[in-house]
Formats: sequence, structure tokens, C-alpha cells
Amino acid sequence: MAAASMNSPWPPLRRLGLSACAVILFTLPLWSPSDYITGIATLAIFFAVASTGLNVVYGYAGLLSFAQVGFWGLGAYVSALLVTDHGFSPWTAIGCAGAVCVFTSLAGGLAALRVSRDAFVVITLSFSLLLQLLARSWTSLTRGAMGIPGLPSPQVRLGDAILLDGNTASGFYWIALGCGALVVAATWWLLRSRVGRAFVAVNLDENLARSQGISVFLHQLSAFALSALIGGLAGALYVFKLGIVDPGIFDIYYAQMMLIIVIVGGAGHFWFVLLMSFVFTALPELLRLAPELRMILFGLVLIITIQFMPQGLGGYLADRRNRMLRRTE
Amino acid sequence: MPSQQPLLSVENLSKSFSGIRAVDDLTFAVERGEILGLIGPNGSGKSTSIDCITGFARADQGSVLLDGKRLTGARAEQIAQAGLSRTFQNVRVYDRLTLMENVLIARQAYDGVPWWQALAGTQACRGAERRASERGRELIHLVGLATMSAFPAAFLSYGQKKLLALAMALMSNPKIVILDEPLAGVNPTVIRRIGGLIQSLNSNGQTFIIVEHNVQFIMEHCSRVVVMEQGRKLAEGPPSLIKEDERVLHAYLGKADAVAMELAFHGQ
Repeated sequence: MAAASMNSPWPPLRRLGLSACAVILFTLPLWSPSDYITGIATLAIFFAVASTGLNVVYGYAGLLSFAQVGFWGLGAYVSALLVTDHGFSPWTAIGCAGAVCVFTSLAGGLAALRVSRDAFVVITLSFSLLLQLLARSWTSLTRGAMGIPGLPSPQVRLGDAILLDGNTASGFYWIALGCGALVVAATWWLLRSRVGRAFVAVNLDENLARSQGISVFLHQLSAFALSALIGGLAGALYVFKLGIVDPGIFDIYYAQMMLIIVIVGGAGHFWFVLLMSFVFTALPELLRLAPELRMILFGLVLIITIQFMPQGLGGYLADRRNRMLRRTE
Repeated sequence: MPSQQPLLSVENLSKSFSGIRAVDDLTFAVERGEILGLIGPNGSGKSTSIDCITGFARADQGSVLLDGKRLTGARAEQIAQAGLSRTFQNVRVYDRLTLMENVLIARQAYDGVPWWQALAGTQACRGAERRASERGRELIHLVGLATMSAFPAAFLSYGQKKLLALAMALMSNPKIVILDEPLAGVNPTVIRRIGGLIQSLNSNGQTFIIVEHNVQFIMEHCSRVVVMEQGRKLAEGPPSLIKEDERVLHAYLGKADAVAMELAFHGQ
């Protein structure tokens, strides 16, 4: 079962590291040598947000969900269709996509969370595969494998002045960074509240939580809906970076990236999952690995992690900290 | 006017597993401010009864009333919120969380702060958290774990975890605390501490049900005892009468003589 901890390892280092990361991230387009690097950093932000969503439901609430890629794709399709077929602005479409994902997760979760945790995994996998099938086959709506091209880039305006233009690599980067930071900060706030504490309680011991008046079902459903919202919003904005949406948005590549990021970062360890999003997005690009080699590298990292750090990097460091505390106790 | 009805009434409770009657027509009541002992040999249906009363198992028939409110068929979390708090035979605490986080979780469903206020961090929520922290500190101090409150519960010994579980069960100011084998696997020092805590809390009006194999402890600390055998209530009464009940001795040791009595009730 996924690790979950509300204790943050190395608090002083964490504060320093976070400040440094914030400065680096904010100024990245200013010193980035090329749009290519900025593009990789943009992709990393999307993976950071989507993986945070998976971390909420898996790391904190203890439910392994393969639906995250489904909500990511659903959000992408909803926003693309609302913009192209109904003339919505990208921002309104993104908001609507988030709402659709929440509604879908609540409807699906009401049924899927009444079964065992193992069955829940299978149901969420089926959900994502079903959505991919629909995207391929419901051609009158989704245009099948052709996809929906020509999506406009979002802009941030102040009156008539364009503050950020999504057509440029740096503009889209800052838009993604701003939106991503908002979502991540809101999620962090929620997880630090008593709602997040209840997610952890439900994950660690369902029966104990029930004996303390905590509804396991409601908290699991809330965590599932929150993960759907985050995944849907990330997918909905990501599609404007691509400019086109097709059934490839449901590709297993996205699902495995999110899972690897959460597992290696440490399920239930908020900041390490964010860190791993950047590592796993940037590393293969910087090493210029072929896609096939990437999968081999990821597989190796996953095996090594499970063998030597079964709770991920965050869990490993938390255990080390606890051992040190115990010695000084 | 104090209510005349018992605080907890269990009436005709029955539960079967695959045709085997684990609990068979069990009826008993708990008065306000008393410590009721529930004893019986292994497999006599004590834990199943507690699971049925607290909503962790669904009774086939019978009813449970807490302070006049019908709890039959309610879910475990609803029963907990009604004021019935429990601990478990195999100690349960959140190992990865600190002692303070453990006790805070045990309180948060009871202070009436809705989820949106919790998310918004309103003044009401902050006030509830502050009060919970104060209560948590008090209880952690009371069970003698104050120096450990910032450490993960995984650091505690088995006996210390039992003490933490007791503190968690008390966090919600429950009407009744049900302790399921609180002494199992615990050393004599901690047994004495648990006994002292129960007496001290009871003198302030806290009602307890104690399910235990340690008959000597039950006889020392309980005002009334219910004895179960094969799912049925075998005897009920004050410890002085239970000690002399031959059926109880037969149930425990298969014989009823002076030596058996000494063994069962004085542990020597």
C-alpha cells in the first residue's frame, strides 16, 4: 500500500529548496537557451499537475487509480470540443472540462468505490480504455483518429493588452506555470487541512477511521473527484499546447509517466512527486534517448526504486529522518 | 432531571456466521457512569457483540439504543458520532503519523466544522483545531506519552500504543468508551497504568465497557460484569456474585472448586 505521511522530511532544507525552485521556474524562459528547453519545462509542469492529482487519490487516499489518464484525456476532449464546436473561450472551456471531469468521477465513483480496492483498480483501468475507444470510434463527435486540429492558444489579457500569449513558448510556459502553481498550491492547502488528514487516515486504517466517525466512502469519493478535477484541468490546458487532440491523449505513455513519477517520488509525499515530474520529463530529453530506450530506463529506475526504496524517495528520506530521531530519542 | 433509562440498551442481539450462532439473543444494559465488564472464554462472542453494537458487523436481529436513540443498522461512523467510541483487540493507531496527529484525527469528525470551512480555514475551524490540540495535549499527557507527542506512533511500544489508542478513544468526549481487550500483550506496569486511568476517568463520570480476558482486572475495576459463553449471556451481576457463580467457573475452567476459583479470579 502506498505510503502516506504528513511529516515532511528535512523541513529547513525543504524551505530553501522550494524558494530556489520557485526562482528557477519563474525565470526559466529568461535564461533558457532555446524554446525546446522551455517546451520541456512546460511539459514537466503538466506532468507535475497531473501527477499531483494521482498522488491525491493514490498517495493520500490509498486508491490506485488508472482513471487519471482518462480524466486527463476527457478534459482535453471537452475543452477542445467546446472551443471548436461551440465557440467557447479556452479559459471557459477549461473550467467546463474540470466540471465535467468532477461530475464523471462522482458518478463513476459512487459505483466503483463500493467494491474492493483491487476491483477499483480494474474499473478505473477499464474507464480509461473505454474513453480511448470512444475517442476512436465516436467519429461524429470526436472525428476519430483524425482528431480535432486547429486549437487556438490561450492568452492572458488585461483589457486590450495581451499580457501573455500562448503562441510563444515562453508565453505558454508562464501560463502553464501560473495555472499549475495555482492548482498545486490549492491542492497543498487542501491536503494540509483536516480534509487531507482524513484522506491519510482512511488510507492508513479504514476501520480505525470509521471508529472515529470519519466516512471512508465520502473521503475516498472526494479524493477521487479532486484527482479527476486536477487531471481534467491539466489535460484541458495541455491540449492547447498541442494544438490538436486525438485518441493519443489517452496513450499509456501518459499513464505510466504519472505512475512512475508518483511511485519514485513517493506516494503521499507531495514535494518529491513534484520534483520527480521535472526529473522524469527532463532526463530522457537531456540524455537524448530514443523512446524505446526511455522505457527501458524508466523500467530500470522503477525496479531499483521498488527494490531499494519501496516507499519512493520521499518515503526513504522520511524513514531515514525517523531513524535519526529514534537514535536521538 | 437525569434520565432514568440506561445509557446503552442491547436487546436480543443475534449474529450468525455460516449457520453458527456467534451471538445468541444477547441482552444487557449499561448505566451512566458505570464500568461494565464483558468476559467469557475464547469464542464466546464478546468481540462479535462489540462489533455488532459499534456497527462493524450487521446484527441479524436485535436492537441497540444509545441514550434512547436507536443505532440498529447504522454505519460504524454514525454510531461513533452518536457517542460510542471504541478501541480494537489488535491495537490500531496511525503508525506513520505523530501522536498529536493521531489524536487530532480522532476528534475532527465531532466538532461540527463542515468540510468547506475546513478548506477555507475559517475562524470556526481554527478555533476547533486549537481546542482539539489542547484536548489532545491533555490526553497525551494523561496517558503518560507527553515526551513522545511529536514522534510518529511507530516509535511506541505495543503497550504505549494501547495507551495512545485509549487517548484517541477519549478525544471525542464519548458517552461510552468500549475497550476491546485493552490489556492483551501489555506488561504489568502498563496494566496498572490503564487500570488507574480507567478509574480516574470513571470518577469524573466516564462510562466504560471493558472486554477482557484478565478476569482479575475485571473483578477489580468493574461495577458489574456480564459473562458470555457460546454466544449467550451466562451470568450478569456485580463481581462479588460472579466470583461465586459455579456456571462461570465451569465455563472458564471446566470445574468449579476452590482452586479453580482462585486461579480464575486472583490469577495465582
